[in-house]
Amino acid sequence: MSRLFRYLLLSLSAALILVPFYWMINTSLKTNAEILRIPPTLFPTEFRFQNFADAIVKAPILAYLFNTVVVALCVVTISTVVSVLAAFAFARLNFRGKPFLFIVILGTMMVPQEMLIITNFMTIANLGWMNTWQALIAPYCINAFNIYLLRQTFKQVPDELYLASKVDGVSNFCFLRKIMLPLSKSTIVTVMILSVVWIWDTYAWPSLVTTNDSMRLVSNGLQNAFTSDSGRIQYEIQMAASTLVILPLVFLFLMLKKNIISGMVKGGIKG
Amino acid sequence: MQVRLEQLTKAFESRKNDKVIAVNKLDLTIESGKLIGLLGPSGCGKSTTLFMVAGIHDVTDGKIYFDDQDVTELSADKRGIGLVFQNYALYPHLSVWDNIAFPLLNSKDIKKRLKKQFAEQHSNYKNYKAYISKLVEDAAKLVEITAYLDRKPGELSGGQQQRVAIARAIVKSPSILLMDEPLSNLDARLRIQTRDEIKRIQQQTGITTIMVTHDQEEALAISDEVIVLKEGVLQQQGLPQDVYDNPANQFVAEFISRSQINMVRGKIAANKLYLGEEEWFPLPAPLMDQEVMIGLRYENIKPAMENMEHSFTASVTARTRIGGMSTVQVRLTDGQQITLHNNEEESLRESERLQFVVKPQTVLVFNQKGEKLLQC
Repeated sequence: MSRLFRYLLLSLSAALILVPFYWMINTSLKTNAEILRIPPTLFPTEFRFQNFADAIVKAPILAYLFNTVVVALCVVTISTVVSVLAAFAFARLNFRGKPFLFIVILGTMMVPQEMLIITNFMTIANLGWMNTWQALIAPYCINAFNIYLLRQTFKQVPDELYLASKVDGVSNFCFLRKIMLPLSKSTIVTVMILSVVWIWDTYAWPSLVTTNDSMRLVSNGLQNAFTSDSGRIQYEIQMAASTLVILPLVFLFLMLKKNIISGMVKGGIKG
Repeated sequence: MQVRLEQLTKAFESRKNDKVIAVNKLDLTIESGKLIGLLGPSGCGKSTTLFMVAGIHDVTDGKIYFDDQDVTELSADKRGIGLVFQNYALYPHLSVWDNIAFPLLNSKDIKKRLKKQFAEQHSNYKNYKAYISKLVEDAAKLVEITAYLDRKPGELSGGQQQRVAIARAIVKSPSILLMDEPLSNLDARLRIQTRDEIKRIQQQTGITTIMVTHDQEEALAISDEVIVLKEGVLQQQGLPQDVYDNPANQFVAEFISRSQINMVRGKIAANKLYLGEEEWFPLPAPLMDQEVMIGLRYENIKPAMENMEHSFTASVTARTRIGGMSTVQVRLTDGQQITLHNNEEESLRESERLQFVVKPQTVLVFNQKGEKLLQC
């Protein structure tokens, strides 16, 4: 009975996640006429793959994707390096004001992004960084949550491993690189994925600091590009574009599935 | 290398801002090449002492000398020690070979030293890598784990993991080997096996070794010398058998006997020793009249023929037999219970009034503060 209930619950939550995806793909394959039909059809009567070609031609979606990939790569690289180093310092090193500094960093998590956006915008504008890569990248390079998550993981590595390497005269950096990082691999992969997803989903900031179409990221592109001359949104093409945009993320997930799941399941490292 | 502690003190600041003194003015000398058992109940400061010698804990007061060099302010990696932890502290993602080689490949100081050694005898080896391999294999051979060099620590038993940890500690040829409870995570059979291994490895290498343990049997079995601590204060240092036979005070007597000792109330009056209320025997040397505690180890109490010297009267109240060892409870004339080991099944019957005898040199007499007054 409890087994049945469990499967029911799992099916329900799976459906909640999958239905929007299904509807996106479903819509992306319909003709414009079928989209307007009421009641809507659950399955396209006629597959129109042309929508995908239209999406690519109609808006520079590939250029947007390229921009997003460049920004994501930079952000993931910089923010992971910064998070790893900061988390190691908070987890293992002793320095004056450590607890205070850590609280300050955690405190920034409490401030909603929307509140920072205006001041950040003024900073960027004063620096003359409008429509530049660094405007898109810089605000995402420090991620308090990632620092916190990595610090917790680093803390689970037993003290004795650190002490043993200290007694052997191994430097902090060498210990971090050869012991900490391999042991925390799954959390680091999780942190990287979170950064990518963050960039992929981000909307308000890039639309604020880029006015130039060539600097746009996918999220802004999707919103703006698929309105017909009469002001009507062409859903089938928009959905086709959305599908294209999501594909890289799905690939990334499938590739790193093992790491992400083990990162969540393991939770601790045995000594 | 000789290790000398001078007035070594460690105070920890507790949460409520009062100081906890873990180690109190410890004066010790550990001779070169010896295997030392640092012994005491948990919380006695033995691990703290070890970590101060290792350079992991800083010292509140006092000095640590290795031979004539003052190392008190030296950082851990400059002291030339090997350290073995209770939980082995192996790097779980590295193979046994990589674990043992880790200090050789990743420590600047050790690398510098090895490169020099290699330059002096490089004709014996194909290249530097071969030299490192030789060192790792020698250490593995010494602890007998050569067959497992490719495995991960998780694929080894606890005893094998501890051997790897010992190999990692000795591969860099330290002048002092420090072990923090190296056996307490092992099961009983492995513990005896591994402790004999430690003895063998220590004798083969001749490295001055300090082993912290709370198990007196372990310490007595393999140490050249034992040091007993209580609440951060040195109680006794000496040869294992000597500490057992001639404990310095009541604490050492009880701790070393693993509680297999009776502490019987008695007194000294007119230079005679009373066991309970019963007059037992005259003292060899005069002492003040006072209440005393008399320590009698289980194995030293024997049934006696009538009217032997140093005998006392008691009646048997209970007997339990576990394996080859009978434990017998007897009651003294004043009602105090004492326990003894006896293997002659027939000689003791329940509720019988009997005479018992103890060799006078094993009778330990303590005053009310637990200081030893007398051992006849």
